[in-house]
Amino acid sequence: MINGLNISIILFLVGLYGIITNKNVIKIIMSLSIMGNGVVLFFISLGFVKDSIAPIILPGIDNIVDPLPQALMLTMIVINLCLTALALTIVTWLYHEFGTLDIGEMK
Amino acid sequence: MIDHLPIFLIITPLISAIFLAIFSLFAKAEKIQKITAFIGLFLPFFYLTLLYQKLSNGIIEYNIGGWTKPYAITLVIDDLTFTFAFITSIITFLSFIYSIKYMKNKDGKFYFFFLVMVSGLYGIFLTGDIFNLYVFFELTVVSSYILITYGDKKVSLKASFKYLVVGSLASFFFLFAIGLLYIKIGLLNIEYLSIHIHNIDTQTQIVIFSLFLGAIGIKAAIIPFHGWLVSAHSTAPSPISAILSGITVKTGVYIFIRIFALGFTLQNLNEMIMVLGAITALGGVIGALVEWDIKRLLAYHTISQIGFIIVGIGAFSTIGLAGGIYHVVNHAVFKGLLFLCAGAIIYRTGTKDIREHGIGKTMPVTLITYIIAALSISGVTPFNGAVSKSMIESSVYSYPIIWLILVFASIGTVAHFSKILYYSFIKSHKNLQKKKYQEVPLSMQIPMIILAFFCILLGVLPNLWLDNLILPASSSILSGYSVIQIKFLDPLHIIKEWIIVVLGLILLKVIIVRSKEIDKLRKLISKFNLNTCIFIMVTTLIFILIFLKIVN
Repeated sequence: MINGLNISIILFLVGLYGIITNKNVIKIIMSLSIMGNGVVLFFISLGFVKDSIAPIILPGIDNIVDPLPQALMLTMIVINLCLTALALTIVTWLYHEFGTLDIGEMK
Repeated sequence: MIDHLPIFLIITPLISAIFLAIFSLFAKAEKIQKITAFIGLFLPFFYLTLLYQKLSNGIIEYNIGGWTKPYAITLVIDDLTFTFAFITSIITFLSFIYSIKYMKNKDGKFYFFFLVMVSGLYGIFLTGDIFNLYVFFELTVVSSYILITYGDKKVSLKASFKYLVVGSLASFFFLFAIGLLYIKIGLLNIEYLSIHIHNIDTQTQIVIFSLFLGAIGIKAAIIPFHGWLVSAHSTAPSPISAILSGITVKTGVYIFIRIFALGFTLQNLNEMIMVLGAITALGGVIGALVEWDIKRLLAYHTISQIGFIIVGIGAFSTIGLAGGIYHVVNHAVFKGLLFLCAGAIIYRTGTKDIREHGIGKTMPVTLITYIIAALSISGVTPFNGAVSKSMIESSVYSYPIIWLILVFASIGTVAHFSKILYYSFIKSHKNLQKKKYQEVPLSMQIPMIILAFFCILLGVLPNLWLDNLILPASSSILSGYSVIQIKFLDPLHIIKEWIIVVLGLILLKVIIVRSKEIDKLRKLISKFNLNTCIFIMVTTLIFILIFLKIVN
């Protein structure tokens, strides 16, 4: 039961729960990061093959994991990093403008 | 050179963005910055006119780096792509011309993000690979998050944050769906996916389609996934609103067409999509009922018009799909024009509240272009909205309830646009004698006049685009050419349109008389915050999943 795919879906749902229940903007961003990590774990688990090694092709090595999801996730991690940085920047502006981190009190 | 045009289409705005960033290091280089941005936005238009001649020989494919097809990153230009890319080039270029005066106190970073966004838009339309679709979409939305913050300081920051959270959620749904497709098929090329998708078992197809619908619903603002749109589109600077409403929302529609055309073998999909589209068409109009803010009104009508488009696509017949795609083009033109008009009004009066405008006849160009756009969006015959709306409506004749909902939405549209006309222009305001408004500068008038001209051109000569681009596109998606008869200038249609206009004016009278009771509705709507919006989205997604599970 405990494998990458299941854990990734649990992580995703934990993040979703965090977004729905929290009003604090920092916590919302943290939940988004957790969801992003869930997606990364999901893709990495897709390419996983039991008893195989990293996809560095050398003579005599034939059982490798699928390298494509890993390449895709490198792109996704970079994009997610940018999103988190941008979100935190907007939060600092929001804090300067409203003086609070509670999204319900920003009127 | 001409073989490499597809990739140039994407990298030209990107390169000019980089040059612009370098020039912005030097102070007093504003002219050079603007010329760089002008080149970066005009050249794609030029490339597309060259590509059109090549397109007549068939679909253009370009493999980046010269790799062979299943491994390469492919760019594909077919009729559908060309339609979307061409309208993008027109709207972005005109918005840029408009923004020179409108955003004159802003720094060069504004144009940098503008160009990056345009580059991402071309990328979305051209790519033939479903993961690159995600990458280019992120490029577009990340720049639009930043561009929104150039609007009204306080509100736009909040709107941008909301858009960021909901947009990221959409991306995660999209990635999950891509992952499931990859685990089942092992490919990411859209063309290959459509060949192999029927091999997937029904259970997985249901999950994949629901996840895609969640992602696309958020991107295209289908009700109840629309929570982010109104605040984001209304608080952005007006030229950016024109692009967001005209093109960026349409990327959701574009992805929707591509995903829908993959050919999921599920039952009752079309009906479900049409019901969602009808709810969206009516819900947008009802949301606009309580608004006095001109840009929020326009943003709600974006949702409503997206509903029309989704109904057309959901019908998935040649006429419905062609009507949907044609409405995308028309909506980009007239909604872009409406946002530019709103920008012109705000530029002179400094307020968004339509009750405080009272411009009268002091801004004739704005008045005339506004009336043309309002008639187009209401679907009155000589203008472009009428053609696509009648095509969409004729595709749902076999579903009378959906047809009736669309007619109600049209009545509401007439009421709201005559409301803006009545308050902003006709009804005199008590401050009018003190202030004399002038017409906006010429560089802001020209884009408005050109777009108004397009409104009339696309309505009077609908076959110009329909026969050359849109009907081939829709028949290639449906993989079968069925000849359709589109009646233009049908007297029955014209009578129906004018009945709708009269009913809309009666509805306006009701709205004005009962404005106090409508204010109560506003309090109800304003209770929906970010958490509730996302909760409703997730719940709807689960309901869709259960519905598809039951009917299959």
